[in-house]
Amino acid sequence: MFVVLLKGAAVTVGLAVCAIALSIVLGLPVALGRLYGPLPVRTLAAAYVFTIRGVPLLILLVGGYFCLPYLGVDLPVALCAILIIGFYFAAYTAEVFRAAIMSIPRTQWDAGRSVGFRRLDVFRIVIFPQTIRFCAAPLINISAMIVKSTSLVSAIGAWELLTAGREIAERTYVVLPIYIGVAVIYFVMCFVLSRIANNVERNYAHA
Amino acid sequence: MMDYGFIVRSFPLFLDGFWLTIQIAVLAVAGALLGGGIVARCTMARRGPLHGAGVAFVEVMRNTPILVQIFILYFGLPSLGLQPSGFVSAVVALILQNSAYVGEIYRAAIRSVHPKQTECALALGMLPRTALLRIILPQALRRALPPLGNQLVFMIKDTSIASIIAVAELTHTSKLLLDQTAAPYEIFAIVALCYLALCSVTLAGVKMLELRFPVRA
Repeated sequence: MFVVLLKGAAVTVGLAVCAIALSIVLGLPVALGRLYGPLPVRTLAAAYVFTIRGVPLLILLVGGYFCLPYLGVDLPVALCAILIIGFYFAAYTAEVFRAAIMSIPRTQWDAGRSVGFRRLDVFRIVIFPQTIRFCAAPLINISAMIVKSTSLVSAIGAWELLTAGREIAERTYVVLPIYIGVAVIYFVMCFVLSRIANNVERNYAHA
Repeated sequence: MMDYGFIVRSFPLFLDGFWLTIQIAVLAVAGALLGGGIVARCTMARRGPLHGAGVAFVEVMRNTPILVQIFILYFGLPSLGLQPSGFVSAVVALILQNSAYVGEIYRAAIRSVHPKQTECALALGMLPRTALLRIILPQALRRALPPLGNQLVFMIKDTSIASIIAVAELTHTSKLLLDQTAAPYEIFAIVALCYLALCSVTLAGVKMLELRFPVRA
């Protein structure tokens, strides 16, 4: 029984890692667009972040997964879950990136431009490496949130830790210990992430 | 593409679901705001059983998904003799988890008030409890308003998770309607707008509170 739960945990970790990568890859362009883009891009990015902040993830998961057949697309559940979760948390990572970039003093920009860099190179060489210190801890916190929200994909039929626990509990009627075991496994995963985030924040995120 | 007649016809169903969502949200918010005070009192105590219990509670609640907590309450408690309904399980799980987050918000806010305020209050002869109530808390609660607003929005969004255990709130209503009719675009547009409206109203309310009770530097 426990082996099945561990397999589920491995699937959960896989889903989470892919969703984390996707949300970071999507979030950075959204943050850049919101900060440096022309007005239509800024408005679009702000509207995207506002919408995601107001709509629950479960609505996006259920709506997205069940709308896809009507659009003619046929994706496996896991891929759909990764795409939707990544799309959802990209708004949060975009806010993290935006806050970190905005916390770099203007003088860095001025210094970079005065040395002769183009704006792109100023960002790439001067600004962005300095933001990584401020991004790391919040991004790890968002990773913990993503791990927890992979539990929701059990509602659209994907197989992961909570689904595995639910199957075992429904077949063997050993309900409370199984769900507590599931909770313990999630706890271990997220606790490790939060300790890493604390460590990173204490050691690297000083101004 | 959109069938507007459908929207008009199914409006009462959505209204019922929306009302239940609001009920869950209001109860969860009230419970979490109070529970957060208890949690903050425990985590800010001196090192001992109370402090340890508070810290353990916060860590457990923050690191387990809300859905797992709801399952433990709804499916697990019957084996101990209790049989909470879906509504009660969802509300209790939301209160428990968000008490942890709100407790941390309160703790950070109280810490952010300069310790000199406490020293001055005690030097003036106030009891520690009076100093807390009349000097520290008014300042701390004003600083806590923006993160509390964010947490309220998270709570409203998390009410949708109750649909998984068949509580007839907004998300559940939309899933039912999706099964009965085949109108995914209309349904999810309405539901997304409902949640957006609810979250925006909450954020606007908190913003008005922030303006009414500003932080004086």
